[in-house]
Amino acid sequence: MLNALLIPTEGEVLVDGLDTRDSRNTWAIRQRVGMVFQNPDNQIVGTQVEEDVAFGLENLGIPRQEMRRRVEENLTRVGMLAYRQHPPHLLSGGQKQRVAIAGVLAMQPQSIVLDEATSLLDPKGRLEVRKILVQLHHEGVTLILITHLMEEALLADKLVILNEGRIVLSGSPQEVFGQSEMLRHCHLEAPTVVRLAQALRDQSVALPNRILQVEELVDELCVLKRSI
Amino acid sequence: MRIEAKHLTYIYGPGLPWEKRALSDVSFSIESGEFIGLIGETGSGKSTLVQILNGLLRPTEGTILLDGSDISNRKVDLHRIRAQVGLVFQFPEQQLFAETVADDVAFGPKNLGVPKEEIGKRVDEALLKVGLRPQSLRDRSPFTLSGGEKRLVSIAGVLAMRPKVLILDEVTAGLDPKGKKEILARIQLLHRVEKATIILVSHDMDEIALLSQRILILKEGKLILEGSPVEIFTRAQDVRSAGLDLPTLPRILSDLRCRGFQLPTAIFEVGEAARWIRKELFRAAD
Ligand SMILES: Nc1ncnc2c1ncn2[C@@H]1O[C@H](COP(=O)(O)OP(=O)(O)OP(=O)(O)O)[C@@H](O)[C@H]1O
Ligand SMILES: [Mg+2]
Repeated sequence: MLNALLIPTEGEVLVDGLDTRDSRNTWAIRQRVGMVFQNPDNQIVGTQVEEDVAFGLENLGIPRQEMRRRVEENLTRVGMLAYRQHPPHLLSGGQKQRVAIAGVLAMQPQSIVLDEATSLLDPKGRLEVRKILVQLHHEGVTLILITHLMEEALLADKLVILNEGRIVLSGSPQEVFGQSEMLRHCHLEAPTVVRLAQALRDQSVALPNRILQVEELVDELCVLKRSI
Repeated sequence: MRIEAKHLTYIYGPGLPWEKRALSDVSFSIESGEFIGLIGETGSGKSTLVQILNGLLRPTEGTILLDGSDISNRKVDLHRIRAQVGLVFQFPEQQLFAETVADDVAFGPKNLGVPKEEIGKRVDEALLKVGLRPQSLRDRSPFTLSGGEKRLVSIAGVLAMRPKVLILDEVTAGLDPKGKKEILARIQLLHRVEKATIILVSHDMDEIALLSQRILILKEGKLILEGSPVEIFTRAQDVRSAGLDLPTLPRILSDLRCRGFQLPTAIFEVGEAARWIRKELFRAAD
């Protein structure tokens, strides 16, 4: 609903004040909110990788030269420049996902929604995409990351947990991952670091409650080791 | 079923602008009843390899022996191979098409020419094996199921052909933690109870480390490492240079080692890792 693909049955979505129910706004809204979906096969449009990435830009009426620059820049960013002339449907799963991400980046939207968009990437690729996201965030882009990976959720400033169509928890990662009861109820699990810290506390290792990052756990354990 | 791959090479679109050597001289063998984890970076050739194993692609060079018989031979009936070596694809739910779950699961055995009377039995048996209740699901439309259930139905569709080897290509990708756990538990049961030979392709190092007995790593179409999870994931350098990473716990444990803790790093369960860390903390106290 964030980019007017679906219109709410009740309630409203405003993007920069633009109401998604008004179809005259649809175009302006999609320019502001880019989306990458989980299955890249549903997003392929071109017969060549570069054409695929350029597709959104053509629709935006970006001049040819600028278009070429952006396509090149973003294919480089996701490590797929070497495949620019390949037919996208013949790429591997992870390669298709990279191309789909490049396509949205090229449009330079103010907000990007990623719906399980890294599910087919290898660990290195996932890390690379995470770096790109952190950088975009620094540049002021709003990011909405839909993910089943709790480690990935730690990147966010704010987490929202949905269960059966309702928001059941929201807040900072620390607030949310502290609620282990509620998480269990939603069939979710805190990230491994958080669970390891909890297991240590259960074995009476005196760790503070608010550990979320690997570095924090490692630092705390080093302090403990010295003090024992 | 024992699988032997000898000097497999595969080239896509020879002579075309997008010609791609996806596999180069890959050899390995898999014993009957083994649980194999197949990993490697994006584009390293995993999906290509598993499609060769089940006869969907013919190797450009090299041979595959299933229980000693060569399937690269042009006379071999590939339908039979596909029934013996079942392959579940990435996003398999996309290929659900029938009006009812039962029709979907029956598709494979029907194609194999299994007699009508037997098909119903096969369908129920396959659904049960993946933990779905035939009575309540048989007549449902597959499109009304949850993401995790759809995947289980896809797996049942392959199991209905009673394969001896089950290959799963990123079957948990994009599933929620609950759906993921369910599928993995089912796969483990198939391995333990049905003694199926399993090949699991995944980018999730945690799941690979926990389930596999042996791991094969591909890089740029070559088989560069093989060994048990402990052997593989103590070689952090090699794993990383293959574009992969350690599972979460070994990553934390190796950070602790760098800071002077004396710990093994190839541990894949939270409770066990906690016990080692605790022991190390109090060892320092003695
Ligand atoms: N039909 C095809 N035609 C041409 N090239 C192909 C085809 N299918 C795959 N390739 C190429 O072969 C190489 C290996 O692809 P494969 O799908 O086996 O990789 P993979 O290891 O499964 O990757 P992923 O983890 O991304 O799924 C890739 O570089 C891919 O672009
Ligand atoms: Mg693949």
